Amino acid sequence: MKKRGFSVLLPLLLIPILVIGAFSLPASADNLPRVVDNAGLLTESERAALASKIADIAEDWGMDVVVLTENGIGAKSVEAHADDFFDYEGYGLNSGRDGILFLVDMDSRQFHYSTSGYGITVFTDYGLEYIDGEVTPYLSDGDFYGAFTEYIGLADDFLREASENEPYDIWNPVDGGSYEPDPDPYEPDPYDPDYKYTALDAIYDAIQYHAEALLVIAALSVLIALVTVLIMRGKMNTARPQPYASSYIKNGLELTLAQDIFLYSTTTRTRRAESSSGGGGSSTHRSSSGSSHGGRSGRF
Amino acid sequence: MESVTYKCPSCSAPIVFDGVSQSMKCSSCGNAFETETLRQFDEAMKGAEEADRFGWEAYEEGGENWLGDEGDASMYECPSCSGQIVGDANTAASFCPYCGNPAIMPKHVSGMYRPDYIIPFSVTKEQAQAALRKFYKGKPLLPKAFKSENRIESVTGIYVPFWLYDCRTDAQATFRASNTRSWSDSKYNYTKTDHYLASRAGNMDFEKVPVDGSVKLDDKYMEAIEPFDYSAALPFRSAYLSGFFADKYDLDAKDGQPRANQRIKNSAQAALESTVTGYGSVRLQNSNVQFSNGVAKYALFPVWLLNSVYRGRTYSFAMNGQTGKFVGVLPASAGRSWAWFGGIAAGLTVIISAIAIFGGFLQ
Repeated sequence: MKKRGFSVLLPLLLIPILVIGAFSLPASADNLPRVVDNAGLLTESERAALASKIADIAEDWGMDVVVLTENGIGAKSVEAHADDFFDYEGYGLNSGRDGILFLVDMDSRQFHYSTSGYGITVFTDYGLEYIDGEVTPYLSDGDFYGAFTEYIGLADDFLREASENEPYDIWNPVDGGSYEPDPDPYEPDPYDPDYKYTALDAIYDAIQYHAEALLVIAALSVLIALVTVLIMRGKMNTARPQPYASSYIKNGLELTLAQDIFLYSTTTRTRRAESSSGGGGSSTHRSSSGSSHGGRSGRF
Repeated sequence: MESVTYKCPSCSAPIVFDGVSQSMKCSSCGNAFETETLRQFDEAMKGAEEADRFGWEAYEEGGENWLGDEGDASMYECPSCSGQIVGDANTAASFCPYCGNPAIMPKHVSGMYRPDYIIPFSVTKEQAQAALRKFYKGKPLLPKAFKSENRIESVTGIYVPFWLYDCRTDAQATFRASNTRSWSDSKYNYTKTDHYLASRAGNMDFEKVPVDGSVKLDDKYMEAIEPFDYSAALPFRSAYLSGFFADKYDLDAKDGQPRANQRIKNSAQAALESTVTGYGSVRLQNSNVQFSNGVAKYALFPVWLLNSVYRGRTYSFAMNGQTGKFVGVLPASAGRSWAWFGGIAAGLTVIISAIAIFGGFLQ
């Protein structure tokens, strides 16, 4: 009797262990590697360190941050390859498939950031441009571990900013100013029940209220007055020397030679300003799987 | 074999033949040119680099001293400005027409040349005075003191001596012209400029270009009342002078030439420039003019003149005694100018502000 009872208890004791173990699994219970180093740029310890940071982000913010390196992607564009890898391999957390993937292709020396779901909102065109500016120098130097660490660190910062405030964008720049309280807050006069509000007060208030517009009107009036007085003064002097003798030409010009020679041509060009989608936000496109992605490509 | 150094039309550095491109290439600015283009450029520039030649014949004076024989002539000299003016027995010498001084003294006349032409006065003194009053009207910046001190009565009719220059001009000029075109694609804005060299040459006849022969009378007044209608010019008779002053010339025909040269050259250049068409911008590079058959004639033209002195400066009024065209310089009171300026500025500000605020145009 004792032997049989013991063998029944043992599996029961394991249940709490399994339950606790299940909760300590990463939020993405799909066992996909988040650092896919096909080009062999990282050591095992570097890869593990990056993967651990990525796991923290996934837990804190629910965003899937992926790193992918390749040694050649064939005829595909980096954008298509990154999007397709993200879609077809099944990355992206939550129902919106939130995530950002950073692809580095050593063969063509190009990179691409691909965003999906909530990642499109958090990583705007302006934001990706900023990340590009911070990370690419590491790539050019060949410091790939540094590049990916920077990338993950920035992703963490961007997610925090989006959660506490709003996503970094043109009107909320990364190195932007901080909130300052109004140094000169308006304090109305204390209430006096006997005070009569006269027309003079109304005029005074109106002037104060519209001060900027009035300044413009005053400046325009000064300009008009200046021009008027100058014209009046000009009329006081009508004696002007005549530099030409055109009234004294008899019969007009007889042209004896008219020759135009083409000499040379110069062409200059100026780079046009980089324009995001008008005034901030993120531009998106559809990948081959049909899902929407945001993104940015570049070279190093 | 003659060696020729060609200069780059763009930057003027020496230009050499480049075997690779089979064209002339400038090592300084990198532009490439066809050999034929450079040869034409070189020739055009050489032609235009000649100097001006102002060929005037010497003026032969019309001979005798006419004032001595045809009736009494008096020359008046002003003690304050040394201006000399000649009149006959009929002229009323009251004020010096140069400086307004009332005391002028008759003196013995020295020789004066007989003019080739004279245009008699058609504008009367009353008309001159009316024009003067009209000129003072409607000038709110005129100081009050000026109007009351002025002596409209003493406007004087003077025959002013002029040198009239005829010549034939051969002018040559080269111009730099360019056309610009702009376009852009998704990455860049482009601007393409085509540069051309336009050579022009031609000849023109100028007839009776006037330069006033009196040093004392400011040229700008005499030029401003031009033109005189030469069809009314008559051979000289001293009878026309009766009742008016005639100014004695103190500028030789030779000394008047530079001003005539300048005006003729400017007109010739302008005429040539007007034939350079079809370009966005045209700029004169160099030019030269050659005068020939240059002849000067001496004429007397009628002018009504009034000089007023106000606060140490002279303000003149001159009226063409034939056509009635008048010009003048008046003092502008600084005080009145500022008053008008302030008044208009303040007035406009108040009116526009009131309309804007109470009309509800501001938020």
